[in-house]
Amino acid sequence: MTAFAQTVFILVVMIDFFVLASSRLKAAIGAVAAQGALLALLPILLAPQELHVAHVLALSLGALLVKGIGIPYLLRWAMREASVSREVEPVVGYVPSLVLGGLGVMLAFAFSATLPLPTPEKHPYLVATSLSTVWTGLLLVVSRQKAVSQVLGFLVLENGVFVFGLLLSDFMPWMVEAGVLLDLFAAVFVMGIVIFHIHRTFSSLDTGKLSALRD
Amino acid sequence: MTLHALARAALQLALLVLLPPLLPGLVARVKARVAGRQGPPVWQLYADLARLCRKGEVKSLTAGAPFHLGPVVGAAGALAAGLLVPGPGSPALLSFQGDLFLLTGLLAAGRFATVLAALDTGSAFEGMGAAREVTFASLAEPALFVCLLVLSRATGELSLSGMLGPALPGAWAQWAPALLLCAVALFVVALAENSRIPVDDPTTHLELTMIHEVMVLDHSGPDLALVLYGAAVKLYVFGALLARLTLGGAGQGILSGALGLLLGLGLFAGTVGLVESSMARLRLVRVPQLLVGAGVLSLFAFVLLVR
Amino acid sequence: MGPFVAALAIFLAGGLAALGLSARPRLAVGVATGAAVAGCALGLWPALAVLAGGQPLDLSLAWNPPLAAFHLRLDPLAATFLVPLFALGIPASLFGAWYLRPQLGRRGLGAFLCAYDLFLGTLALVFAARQAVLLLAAWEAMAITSFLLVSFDHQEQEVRRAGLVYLVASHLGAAFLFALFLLLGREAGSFDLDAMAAVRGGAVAPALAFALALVGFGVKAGLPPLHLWLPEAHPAAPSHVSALMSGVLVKAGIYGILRVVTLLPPPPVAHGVALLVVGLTGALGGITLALGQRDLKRALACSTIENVGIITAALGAALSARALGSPGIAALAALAALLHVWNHALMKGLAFLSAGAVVHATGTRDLESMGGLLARLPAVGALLLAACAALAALPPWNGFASEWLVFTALLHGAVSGPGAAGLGAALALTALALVSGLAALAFTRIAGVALLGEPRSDAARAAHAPGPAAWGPLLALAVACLALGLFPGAALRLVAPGAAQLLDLPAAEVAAAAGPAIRVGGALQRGVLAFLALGLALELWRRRRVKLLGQARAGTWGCGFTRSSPRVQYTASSYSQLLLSTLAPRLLQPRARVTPPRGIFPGPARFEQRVQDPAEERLFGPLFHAAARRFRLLRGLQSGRLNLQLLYTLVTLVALVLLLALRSAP
Repeated sequence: MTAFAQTVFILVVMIDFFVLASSRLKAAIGAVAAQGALLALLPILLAPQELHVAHVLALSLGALLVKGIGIPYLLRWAMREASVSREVEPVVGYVPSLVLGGLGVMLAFAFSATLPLPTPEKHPYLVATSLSTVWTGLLLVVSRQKAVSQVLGFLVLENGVFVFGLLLSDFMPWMVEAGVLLDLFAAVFVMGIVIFHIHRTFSSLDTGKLSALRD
Repeated sequence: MTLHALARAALQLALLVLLPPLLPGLVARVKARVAGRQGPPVWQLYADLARLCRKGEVKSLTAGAPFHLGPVVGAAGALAAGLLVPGPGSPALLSFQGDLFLLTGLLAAGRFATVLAALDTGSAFEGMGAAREVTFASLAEPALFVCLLVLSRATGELSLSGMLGPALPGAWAQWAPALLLCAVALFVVALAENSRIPVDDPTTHLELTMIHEVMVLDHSGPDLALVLYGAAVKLYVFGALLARLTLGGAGQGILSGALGLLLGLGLFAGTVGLVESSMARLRLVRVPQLLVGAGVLSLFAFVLLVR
Repeated sequence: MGPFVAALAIFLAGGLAALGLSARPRLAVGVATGAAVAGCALGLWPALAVLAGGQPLDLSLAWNPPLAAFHLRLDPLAATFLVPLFALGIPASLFGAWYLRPQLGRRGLGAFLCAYDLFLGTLALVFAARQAVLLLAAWEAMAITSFLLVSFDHQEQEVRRAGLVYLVASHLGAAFLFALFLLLGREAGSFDLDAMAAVRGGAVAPALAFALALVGFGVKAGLPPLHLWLPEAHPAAPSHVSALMSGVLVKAGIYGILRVVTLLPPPPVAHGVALLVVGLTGALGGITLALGQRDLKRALACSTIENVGIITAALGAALSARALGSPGIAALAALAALLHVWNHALMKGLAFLSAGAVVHATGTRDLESMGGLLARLPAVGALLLAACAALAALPPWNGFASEWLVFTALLHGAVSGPGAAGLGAALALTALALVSGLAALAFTRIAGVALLGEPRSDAARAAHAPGPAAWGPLLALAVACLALGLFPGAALRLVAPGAAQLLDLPAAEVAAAAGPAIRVGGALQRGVLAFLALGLALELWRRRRVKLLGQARAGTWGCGFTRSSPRVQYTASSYSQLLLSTLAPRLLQPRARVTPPRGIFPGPARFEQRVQDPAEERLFGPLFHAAARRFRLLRGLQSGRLNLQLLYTLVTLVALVLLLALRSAP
């Protein structure tokens, strides 16, 4: 099981790199959806022996539905609606953001073992993957111009938080999952509204244009 | 040196000198088959080389000595790099700690000469190709370094023959994900270094979009034969490295080693052919992304090892 | 010690004689050059003898100034840096004699020659001085003489500016050195370096002393962001002076840092890491700056920043490895750094001298006005081509040998280093691989645009090949570059004592660290020789085929365009455009102003591009402007009237005396 979990973690990080480097929104959304689906596997793979099956399955299924299917569908819809298909040249270029992402991932993997944690680690890659994914999400949110890409970055960030939540899921059952899912939902909700309004006001999703609101 | 060792060395040398022109033929064959065509025979390049060696040459009025140095140094660099690659079931003809940097240095020397040969013609197109070739190589080189570094760290060996030798199966057992990432990155680097799709399209006929081919537009006769041969040897060098890496030093015997090498080279050529059939050439500005991505991937593999 | 002191005396005498012979310029050039060559040859001997295992030489003479003493010592570390000075000094001086021929009638030639000989002498004194006041005096004298050399063509505005930038940078750096040696001297109770080494810095915080040395000596070494003077001063100076400055003077900065390291307690990892990071920044930044330069000598100067960066990074790796308890890796890295000091002196000397000959023949330093020079200046062109190959770190040239050692040292670290150390070594290796890739781009650009293709201007078309007086000395340098590339083992044995002294390790252990590969007849050498043999065989085969089958000549294939002209050639700016505009960080991208052709009957179009140095634009430019604004207030004091100035002096003196009196009063 741990070997399989290891593969999942590595794939999650690979998807981080892919999203950082890809300019096509469609491919990036697909990748984030795949990342969500992979994350849905984790609760099952990392479940301790004596755990309630229903709890694990519900968490897994919930993650799959929300992260793997629901939100990507919404984003594709937003993409079509706003008729954007690729990111304009981002604030931080693709190559620099890839390099920055790579450095962040390296630091996360090199030093996560030294972090003081409240519970024993379930898997040696768990915290590192979580930190890398959060870092990638932050980079995306900061560096991208289009609102859809920024939502995507936010999703990646949430995925990272979800992975970290798995660490705490025995510690405080339900609370974490509920928090994570709710958080995510609210975020998408808000961003959806934002996208809609930005689009209606500026007939563009370029957040750079928001600065025109200054007086 | 025993007779046995001598025979091995002779076999290795023969493979290095004679086998390379087969690889581009194999790739072309795979591409043709995927496209539903018959395609040229696999030994087409041998025939081409023989034909070019019998032809006189046409030399640009602008060009001087560096024009000829390009093909010669390019081929010599690739062949000398081939001496460092482990042979079938045996270490390389020349092996020492840090030989990987000699390999990259020799390839760089060949590139330097090829680029100067292109610039020597004073052609705008060849200058353009030269600039692209060196620019992309400057990104491919770090990625290649890190790939070899991963191998080195996983096996604890400092020479190519060591890291691709008996220590490799153990490393695969312990570090499979990292070595897999490394193999993928090395494959990307191999595509870039050998000017294949998606970095460069070796069959295109528009000079503006070419990289490697446009640099050698003015070469003809024996010069062109050397250029084509050098490119084939370079492809062989990367193919042999990847074959050893992926098939895990499949056998230590000379026969099983040779079979493993041939199988690996065939797989390599097949994969290159499939990639070329299924992908288009990337836009030029996207190529650096691919190469930096390969570098980041292999650095990630390295981090997995260090942990 | 005798020959060394004699060499110093010859430099001094030759310089003064040249000054005295100003009225007879031809003789003055002869005397100055003769003295320079004789002094270098004489000095080379004791330096090599010390490195070959001889005892360190020591000399103390009485010297009057307060706190000062004339204490010289040739220990292995000093000798390691003296060898490139004397070895490069001979061909550079001979080339200088040729270079100055058209300038014989000029005013100030005698002063220039005098400054040149004194420059060599003071530089030698810097390396040999074992007393802080003597060292600082030599250091300042070296700065002033080199300033005079840089300002030789002072009629040109650009040269005056370069000289000024250089002088200001030197003096600001020296201020840090004064602070450093005052601190160390107070602890030791003496300004003798031996005394300082005995107390190992005493109560001075090692980090403070190290930082002062890094800034003070780093200015000369051209470490970022203190490298600003380098791309200004090198192109402005006559080429043999640029060769010496780039080859040796810059290394004096490195030497200073190393000397201070031996005066302090064994350096902690942090110091090594600091050197590593600074070095890598310099290497990457320098080579990226070189890519954008149109000026041939300026591009070479930027590559000096790169190479100093490589040396510094290797030294940083050595010190970190030493502190982490891996003496083998430390020895390998230190050997690599010191070997690169030698190699870079030789190859950059060759590059600057051959570039000087090219500039001399074409009358321009602009790459875009050169082209096709290999056909017109075969000897000089081939030598510049060789220098470019060496600087791009290609086998079989010497640049490859030392870079191979740097890589191998870092590989050892990356494979065996635990956790962060291994990761750091891997990252450093990746960065250096990128540097060497970019160096290939930079030097194919220089060689390709300047030497190959068709001439890009009338000046290049009319260039005349200089005689053997110009390229003879260069040929010796090229042979040395090749020899060090083919037999690096021999040179390694000579730099080993210096590395051992730096790392405080037994010399035999350091010499053995390089392993079997780099020994004479070792595996690396066999690989390089196999490459050469293969190349030779293929070349012979090619020649035979062509002889047999014939060769036709025709115009370059223009891809269907038949009216080709030299102006369609790829330019130097376009050659590096792909990398600079898509990959370089925005700070390092050249700024372009474009007026594109518009309309059906387009008017004139323009394209202008300027390379910017972030250290100048973002750091020192604003800093100096702000300082200048503040100091403008003081201008009121400066009326230019002599008696007022004297009054200031008087007031200051009285104030000082009063201060003294008050402080000593009970």
